[in-house]
Amino acid sequence: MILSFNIDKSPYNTGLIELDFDPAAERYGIIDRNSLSMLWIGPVPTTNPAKIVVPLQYATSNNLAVMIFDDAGTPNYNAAINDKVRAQLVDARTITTNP
Amino acid sequence: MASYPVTVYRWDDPGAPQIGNGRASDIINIWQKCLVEGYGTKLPLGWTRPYYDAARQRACYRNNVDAGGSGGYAIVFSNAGNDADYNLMRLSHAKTMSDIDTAVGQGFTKAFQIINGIGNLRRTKWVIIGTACAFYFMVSYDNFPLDGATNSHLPALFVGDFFSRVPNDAGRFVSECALGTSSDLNTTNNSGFYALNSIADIIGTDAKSLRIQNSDNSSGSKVYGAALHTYSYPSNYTITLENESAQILSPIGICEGGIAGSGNRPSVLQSSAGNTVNPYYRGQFPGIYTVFNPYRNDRSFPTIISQNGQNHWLLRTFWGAPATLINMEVWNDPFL
Repeated sequence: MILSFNIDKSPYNTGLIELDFDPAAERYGIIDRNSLSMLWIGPVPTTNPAKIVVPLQYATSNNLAVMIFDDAGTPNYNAAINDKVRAQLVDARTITTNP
Repeated sequence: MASYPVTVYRWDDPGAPQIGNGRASDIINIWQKCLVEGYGTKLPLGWTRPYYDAARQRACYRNNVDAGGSGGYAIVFSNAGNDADYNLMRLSHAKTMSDIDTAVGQGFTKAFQIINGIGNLRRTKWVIIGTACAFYFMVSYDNFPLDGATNSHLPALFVGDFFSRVPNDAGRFVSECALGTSSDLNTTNNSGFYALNSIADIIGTDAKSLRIQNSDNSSGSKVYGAALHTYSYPSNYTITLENESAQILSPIGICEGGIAGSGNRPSVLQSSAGNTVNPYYRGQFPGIYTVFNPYRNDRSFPTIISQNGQNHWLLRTFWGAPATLINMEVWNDPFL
């Protein structure tokens, strides 16, 4: 047993994206709107809101785009996109993510 | 300190699924029962199986986000895409998935296999020790002590979230499985994958086996490995003395490049200083420890060791004396 284990618990800054979803959305994605490089894609979580960690730089710029996709049916709805999204600046030690 | 309650599932539980002829369907059935459905009087660990293709014997398991899991995916499948006896299985992991064949942020793909043994060397006994976020899966002989070089070709693997130094580490879901050599990181060549033993063995002998995605969801990854303070299986395999008094339980760390306990030293890169996206020292495997005082190699399987008032599962060793324990009651994340 480790009797003494001192861990650095100073604030750990990161970006956070928090999203509420339309019930028709099955999947969502987060991209860098300049490079279109993907940061995240995944199923819509069972409980809103989704919370995803993103690099710190996105908390100081409006450089993300968030997309939702309807995979069910024909599909019924076109994809929707929210542009120029800025992440929240948070201490990663104090949040609970919900990917 | 965040704590995760542990459940132990084993072959001799009432209603437990069995290995059978080592088919992919047998292995996936064991995982499904332990992770998702439960059996007998045992509740499942609370994972989900978002994707499953019975025809190809390919299954993807996701850990429990509500219980603190990363929501990462394990991908386990029959290498041949069928359900033949004693099939070669492959294992990988991904940060997320879009469908059963589309992994995002994938790690190395490795392999394991239930080999058809004879008599006491039949592989009939399995155990899963796990939480809502991670588990160890090990297969053992029908009747053979914990020691000795005869103990080879036994699947043992880790799947799930490691305890990360980086809070809410987006890359903390990994899979770790025995390797023949460090070059067998993504291949269908099974010759290297036959050298399967205990988790203690893979951690001790292969130092560069984990591809871990960046902690902040930026694209990119780094190769890590297990890092030990003490050797997971001391080399004197004829040891008959043991000291069962209180042990120092050394956690098994995850460091860039890894550190096998054989005297190799880590090469800490200056470029890693101040790196918070994928730091040199990333975290540690949950609930598993090496000890300085090894146990007798002629102990029978399974052996349960009480340390600090809690039961620990003594891992098999293919060479040397057993010296690796998995906590069977609770896993504590020291970083939270």
